Amino acid sequence: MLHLQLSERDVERLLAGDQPQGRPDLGEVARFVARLRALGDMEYPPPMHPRLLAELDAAEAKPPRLEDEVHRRAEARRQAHDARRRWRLVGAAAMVAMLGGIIAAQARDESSPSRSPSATTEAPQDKDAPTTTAPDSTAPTATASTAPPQTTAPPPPPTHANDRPNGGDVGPQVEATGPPTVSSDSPRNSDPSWQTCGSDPECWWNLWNQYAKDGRP
Amino acid sequence: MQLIEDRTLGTVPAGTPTVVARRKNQDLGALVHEAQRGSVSAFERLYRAMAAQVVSYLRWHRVSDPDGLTNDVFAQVHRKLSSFQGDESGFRSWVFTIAHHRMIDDRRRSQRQPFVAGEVEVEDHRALGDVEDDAFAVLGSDRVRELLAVLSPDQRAVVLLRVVADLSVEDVAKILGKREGAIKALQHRAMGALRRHLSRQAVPA
Repeated sequence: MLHLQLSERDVERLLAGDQPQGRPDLGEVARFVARLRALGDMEYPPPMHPRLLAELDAAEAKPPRLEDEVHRRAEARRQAHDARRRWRLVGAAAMVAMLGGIIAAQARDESSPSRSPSATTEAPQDKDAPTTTAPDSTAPTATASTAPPQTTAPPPPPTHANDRPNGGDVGPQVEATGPPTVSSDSPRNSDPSWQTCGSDPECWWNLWNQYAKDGRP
Repeated sequence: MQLIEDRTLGTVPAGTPTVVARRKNQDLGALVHEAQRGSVSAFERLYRAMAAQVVSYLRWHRVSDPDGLTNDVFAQVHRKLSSFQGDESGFRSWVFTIAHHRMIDDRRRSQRQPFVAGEVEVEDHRALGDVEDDAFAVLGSDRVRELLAVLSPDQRAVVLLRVVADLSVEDVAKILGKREGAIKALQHRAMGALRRHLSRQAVPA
């Protein structure tokens, strides 16, 4: 018996239980598939076993939304954890960038002598007043911003040469609230307190108050 | 007769089993969602809707205890239902994937067990209704079993999943872990083998 080729469409029709048109050789195959399908349709679902029923009963006793709630909370925790981790990473990156910037700026400052720290503390020259130099290179100006809290109101700092406690021999102030700067020929140069204060801001502050009160240390 | 357009079959009568099963699938999707929300009655309806096909698939594969294995399949479905994602055809495919794996496990287990003389007769729940139907079922099932024995295990699995489980080529490919082309080749060879066997029987030598 001559067997013709089966096309894909023929196979699909056979699997649906239908005989393809003009193919009597496939009639028996189609009947077999139809019988297989019919027997499947006649099948009854088997009774549920006690074990499966017990599982269903246990599931019914449990609040149905409990699992969803647990899942939702776990999801929320996971998202919060992810967010924290992201912020930590961003913070670490910002810290690294900041440190890098600081290091780069320091390196630049060290390489260029014109921007040394001593240059920044030099007082501007006043044509009217004599040239003054600070007794300590950094201490008097550094105390300006770090002065201790004021318990008794100090007198307003002298802004004019004639108003100063020691006459007109005091040079211009770098900071209005800072201790006075003195010229090299001032008698205060011989005062040991100028040498002993060093970089102690409280010492400088007391010294300044004493100047304001007595006119001399 | 009402004709409808089918994706794979073209224009077919409305009563074609494939089409009927697809209509059933639409209801299955709603049941799956209800069961996922914790409705036990929805799960029981799912069981009633699908257990017959599952037990039929397992019975044609001649597993040792089709009813018990079907219960095992649905127990696993119930336990994993909350993690299932997909539509109704995906659900059918998922259930038959579990059933197929259970069938393979059963076959391996029976191969490890010592040989028992005589074939174990599998209890058949089909013979429960009308006498004519019962007779047809018994006679028909013997004939079908004989013809299924002609096929290789892979061909048999493909034919049963396409016909009994009413799954698409794509779904069968996923279940068996093969490409769609391989499934089409297997079903083509299965039809050819059946045709050759039946024509040989029709014309005795």
